[in-house]
Amino acid sequence: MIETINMLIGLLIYPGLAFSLLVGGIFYWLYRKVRARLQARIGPPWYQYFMDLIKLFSKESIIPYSTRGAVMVLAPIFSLTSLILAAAMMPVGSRSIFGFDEDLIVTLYLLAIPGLAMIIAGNVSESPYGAVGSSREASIMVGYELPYALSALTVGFYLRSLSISTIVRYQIEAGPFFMKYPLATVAFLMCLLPKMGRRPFDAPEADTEIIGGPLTEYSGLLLGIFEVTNGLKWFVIPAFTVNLFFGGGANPIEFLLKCLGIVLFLSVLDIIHPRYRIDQGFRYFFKWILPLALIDFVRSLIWP
Amino acid sequence: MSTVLPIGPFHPALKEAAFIKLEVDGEKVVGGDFKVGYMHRGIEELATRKTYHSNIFLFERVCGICNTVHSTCYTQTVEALMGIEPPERAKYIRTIVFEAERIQSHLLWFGVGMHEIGYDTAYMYMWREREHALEILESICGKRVNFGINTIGGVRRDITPEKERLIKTKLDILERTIGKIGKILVEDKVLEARVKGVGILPKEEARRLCVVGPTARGSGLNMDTRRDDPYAAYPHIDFEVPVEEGGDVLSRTLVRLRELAQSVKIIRQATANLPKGPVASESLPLPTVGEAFGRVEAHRGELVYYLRSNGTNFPERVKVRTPSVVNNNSILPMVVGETIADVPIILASIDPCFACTDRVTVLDTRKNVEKTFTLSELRGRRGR
Amino acid sequence: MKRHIIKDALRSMVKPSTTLYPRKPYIPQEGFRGAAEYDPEKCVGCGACSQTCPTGAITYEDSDKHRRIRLDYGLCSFCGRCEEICPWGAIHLTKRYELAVYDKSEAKTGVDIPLLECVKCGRPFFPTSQMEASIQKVEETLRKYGIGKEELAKLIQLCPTCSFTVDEMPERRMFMRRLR
Repeated sequence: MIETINMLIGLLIYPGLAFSLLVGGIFYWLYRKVRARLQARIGPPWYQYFMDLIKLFSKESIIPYSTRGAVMVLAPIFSLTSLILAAAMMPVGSRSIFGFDEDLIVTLYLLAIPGLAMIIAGNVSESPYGAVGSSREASIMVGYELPYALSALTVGFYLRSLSISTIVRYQIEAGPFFMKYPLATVAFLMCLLPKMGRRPFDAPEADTEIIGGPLTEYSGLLLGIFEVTNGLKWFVIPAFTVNLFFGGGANPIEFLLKCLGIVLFLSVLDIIHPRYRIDQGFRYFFKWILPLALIDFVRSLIWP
Repeated sequence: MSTVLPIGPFHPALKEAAFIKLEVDGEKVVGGDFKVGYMHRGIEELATRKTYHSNIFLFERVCGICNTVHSTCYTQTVEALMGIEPPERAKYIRTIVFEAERIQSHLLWFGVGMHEIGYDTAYMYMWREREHALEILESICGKRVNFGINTIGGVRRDITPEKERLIKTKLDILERTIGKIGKILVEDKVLEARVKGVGILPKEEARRLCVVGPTARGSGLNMDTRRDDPYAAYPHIDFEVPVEEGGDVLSRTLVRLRELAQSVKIIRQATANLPKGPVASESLPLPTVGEAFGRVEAHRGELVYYLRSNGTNFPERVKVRTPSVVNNNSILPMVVGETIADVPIILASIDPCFACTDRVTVLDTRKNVEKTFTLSELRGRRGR
Repeated sequence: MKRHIIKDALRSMVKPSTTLYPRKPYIPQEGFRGAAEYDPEKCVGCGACSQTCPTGAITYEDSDKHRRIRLDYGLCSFCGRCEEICPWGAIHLTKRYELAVYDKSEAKTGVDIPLLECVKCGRPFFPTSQMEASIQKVEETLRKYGIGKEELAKLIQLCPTCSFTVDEMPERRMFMRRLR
């Protein structure tokens, strides 16, 4: 009984849905505010993201006649569930509520599911924009998932352990991993840009070319669930980065400050770049990012 | 096996409504068609029911970005029909307003072009600098758009010495901006990857399609109505016509950038040499029976007006041939063979103005149906 | 690498280029062509503005002993021709540009000029202020011929239908002979 209540609190409140959504919403607002200020504008107020969610949840969701409605409803649910589980397992500060011994691999899998859900969503909504968007998302996923996974596993191989809590505890004693494996850190940070849909690699959602990309035919409640996913991503992915490479943080305050640093870094990179074409982006990952990840991976295998 | 991707009437890449139907195979474009007719307003027919003077204000509203171009060309054609010559000071003031609007239009184009490739930061900065050009226009004409500065026989407002000082300050700011834009365009590697070698229009193809304006000058054709057939104050002003040989999107961008610098130079010369005198001639005869033909160099190319009068105060026929009508023919040859991601920037690089393009709508009153013609249907009718 | 964009970005962060309109109002420059307003003291109801308006936004009708001139902001193109052509300087373009209303009938402006009634048949036929302004214009010329303006005023207080009758014609012909 107590365990069930504990599990529900951990899943839905802290560090699950409510906490991650709140912190993710604030980080997303900071990204928009920094972007506006650097473009000589003023920017939205802090409650803008939450008001957008309320508006989307109050509208009707239109499902096109010729699609498979069941799959169209399941795709956002997949991506939301996987992110809630990944948020629940993430150690905030140095304690983790649901961590276990192999959670590095499980988190890598869970964080790949939102991209797959977008591919499904683009294909099942019968619009040409969705088809083009989902094919672009598939190509860019092939490009970035490999260096992303290799950099994450570099750290695991060094410690001969696959538990994120062990990695965090090691870094609190011996120093953060970005000093030991700088190339893997750089490769990992560059892979975050297409994962969160930021320039210069946001070709799947390019709004001047293919209106909404995979999400063109979504509206109302289903689009609201995709927006919740977007907000959660802004917390979970910087948290993952900080846990793996930047020391983790001895208490939640230090942890959140380090996540803030990652968010600001991603915002500045997004603002000063135009958008790569999909084949140019794909080639960029194979030419520059994959060698960096490979070098550090081989280093961690050979020199423990 | 090709699917149809509509760059349809509603699309974030288009400023106005037009229908470009692309046939794509994966990400590559293999064919397409082009449909106009969504923005037809019947302006040429309405012009036969209003007097010559009222039509100045009507023709300003053909296009949203190039207002004074239409009004100047129409006024010059009517003055040719009536046989009156505006005073010298009026011609210089018309030139100043014309070139200030060219600066405003090219800076708007830069912003839109940057937005099409996703560079929102540069888009915001260029539109911030555009405000300086709009303040010049607001101080001379009283409004930021739809100026109404022309009247038959001259202009309606004068430039006081205080306004000349304001113009000089703003021109200094604009010159610094143009230098900065040049550096922003050149220093960015991602931008270069997106615009270089994309959307090539070879010189022979450009000549065959009869394109005009920066589209033609970017492909090596050296044509400019301000130099070949001078009007207003251009015979007394010294300026260059930029021409590039590449034929791709980058060449057209560089042509527009150099035209901005030339416009600043023209306004400086015109303000420095402004002759004294009246701003409008007092005589207004009725037009004689006959025809007149006038052309100017609009921001997108060569604009042509044809006027026919039957001796009364109402024109009998006014025909407008805007530069976008000919430039839009070059969209399909440039786009076939490129990827979908390049279509918005190629479309934006010829600076299409679909409000100026619209030609014909067919009403079938028996079946009560209204339809537009596609380009291939129109060509089929002419037997080509 | 990207020095100019980064320099520009930092400079823009310090000073934004947008303002919180409408909390902070925007006043346009002098000579801005906004909404037109009539001056009821000067307007005589001649109707020149309605003849020259390119869009036909200014109309007038005679009803209820008044000439009612109306300018519809929905049709107005803010060109300023009415201000240029008015011989009495009675219409001016102000700097007001926020003209949104909830009820379409509120987006109008106008002036009502009282009409003079014919002393014989009682039909209102001419704006009072235009009559007075016209008499004032010819007063000096009349004095040269030794005619007081009351005599002229008495003559033209008849409407055109009543004054072109057989009874009135002799008196008018006598008046015209005095002007030789």
